[in-house]
Amino acid sequence: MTVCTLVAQSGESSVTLEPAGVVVMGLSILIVCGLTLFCIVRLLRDQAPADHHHTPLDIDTHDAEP
Amino acid sequence: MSETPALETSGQREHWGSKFGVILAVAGSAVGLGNFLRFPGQAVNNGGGAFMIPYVVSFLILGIPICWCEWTMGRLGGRFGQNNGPGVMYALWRRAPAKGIGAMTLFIPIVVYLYYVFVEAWCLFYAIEFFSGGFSELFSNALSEAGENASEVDVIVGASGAFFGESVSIDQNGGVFESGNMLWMIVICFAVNFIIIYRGVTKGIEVFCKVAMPLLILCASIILIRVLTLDGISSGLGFMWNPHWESLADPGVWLAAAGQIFFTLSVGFGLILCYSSYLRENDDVVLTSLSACSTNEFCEVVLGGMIVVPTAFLFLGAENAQGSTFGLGFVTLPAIMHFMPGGSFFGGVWFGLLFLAAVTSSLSMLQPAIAFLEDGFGLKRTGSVLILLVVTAVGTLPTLYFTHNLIGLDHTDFWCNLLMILAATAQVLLFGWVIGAERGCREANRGADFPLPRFMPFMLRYVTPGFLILVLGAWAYTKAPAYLEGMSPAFKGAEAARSVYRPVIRAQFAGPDLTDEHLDAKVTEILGEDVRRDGLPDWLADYHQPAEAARDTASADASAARLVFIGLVVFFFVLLALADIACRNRIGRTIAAAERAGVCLESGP
Repeated sequence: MTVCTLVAQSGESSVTLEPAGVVVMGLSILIVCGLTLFCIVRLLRDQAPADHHHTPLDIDTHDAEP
Repeated sequence: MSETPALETSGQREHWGSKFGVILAVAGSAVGLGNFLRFPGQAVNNGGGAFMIPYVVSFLILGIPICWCEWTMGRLGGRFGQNNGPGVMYALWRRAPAKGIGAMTLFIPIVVYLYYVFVEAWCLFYAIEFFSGGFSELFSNALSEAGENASEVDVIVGASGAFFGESVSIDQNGGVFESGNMLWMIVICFAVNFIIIYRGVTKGIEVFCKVAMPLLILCASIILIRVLTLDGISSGLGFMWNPHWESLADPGVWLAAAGQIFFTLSVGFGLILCYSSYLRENDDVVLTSLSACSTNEFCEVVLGGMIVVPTAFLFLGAENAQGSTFGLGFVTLPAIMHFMPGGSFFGGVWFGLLFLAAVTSSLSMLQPAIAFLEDGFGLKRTGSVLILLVVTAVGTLPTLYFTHNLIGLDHTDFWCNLLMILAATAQVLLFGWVIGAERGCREANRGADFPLPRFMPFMLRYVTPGFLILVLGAWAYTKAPAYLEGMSPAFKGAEAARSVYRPVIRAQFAGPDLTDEHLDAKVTEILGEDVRRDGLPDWLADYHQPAEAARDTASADASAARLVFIGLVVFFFVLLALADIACRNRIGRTIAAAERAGVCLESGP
């Protein structure tokens, strides 16, 4: 029997994932994944996204100049 | 076979390479410490699943709109040759308040860096300890010293907590300078951050982080899959996600959600304002910022929300699964690693990647100040980096010294958060009412992959600022008094002494009629307001010494908090003065030159 099962059974086995929790969790994940997927698909549809999509990680701040 | 297909193929490879490069860059920019450390604790302590309602509302009404504002204003300010907050603000609005807003966008990232580098050092220290077997040894020793009847969970969590407290010197001020280990970590972090910026190896760190940060997301995803297949994980998920709807009536929950959105999306910081100022006129800001926000939310909700707290609950129980941000990240998580097969390796990888995420965040926090020194005073990068190194090294000292109960970090964080909300409010008002919401949205749509929703001008003019003012007022009203009282040595000293005497008084007058209200009245009657030992009953004599010790400690913490606050105020006014000088001189001239070259911003709504 794993440690996690022991702990789960020891004191907090009364906590279960309720239907409302499933709905909230599912909706949250659905919304977030949907939005992320939407953005990725739009980026992939762009012919040359590197030409005009820039995030802080790849924005050139001209730090190389002395 | 003609040459054209080969060229087309080559072009397609370049396009796909650039597409995935952009997606990796988006992912890399999005992931940060807050996703895994802050969000889970905030959610579970503020209603569980019910927290998602104010969270999503804040995301839609505050997060996304403010992001769009900042990206747009930054790109617009960049056309006037400004890559710094004060310059961008002044280019958009030639009035004195613009300098004040600009000073805020300069102040916030610098001051956040002052304590963020401390957290960065913790991540590095923990990674080293995991890889070197330090944690294995720590937990083994703790278990061998514990009695046979001791709970393994309690022993491990206790050892982890003691290690954290000792590492950051949570029990005494100045301990970081005495212990040596953490101080070396901080020195290394400063060296890493500033060497990268000094050598201008942004492209190097960019290439590296394009791999490392998605690797963090991949690691977290693998851990997520492992977590979801654990026996009994539904109870952990229930602990995290079961909604406590009654919490929605608590304004503090809505505040916590708004604060989390601010912190996780880095809106109002001034970072986005700085980075977007380097964009070209027709670079997209709508899809880019939305992508960054959505990827950040994926890391936060799907990864952070599904891993840390459910696993902590499963392995360690409810008590250890609802701690503070730092408690979850640096006490609970290491304890979880003990129970996980290969925990030392995974723990090292996890904290190592968190360290890298912290480095990229630190670099982005330093960039606005460097840009200001270069734009505002004509300094070269070398000079601006050196000045910033000295300023931040000195500025970090209060956080590193006042570590008792992390008082320096906590108070700096609070005032920064308050100013962050104020700065975001000011920026949105400037966008909606000075630049004009319609005009600003047209500007945002320039080069956009898709246009902003049609209702966005209305939202940016009325809804977002209104909600922000509400959040700002509520935040100040509910939290500021405690922090203001926290700067009063007399008040905090009396409160600490009272807390020592109170249980004794309760025991003295114990009875069925002794309600909390009666006890409070009795405590006030016996102790008075300032809880001085003179005139107290003899039966309290045994508790005078611990009460005075508690008083002295709390008074010292309050004095430290006051010192930190005064330092922050002075620093802000110094930056304000510098922003004013720069705007009257070099920045003003650069803007005027841009205008003569044809760059303009139509004023009015």
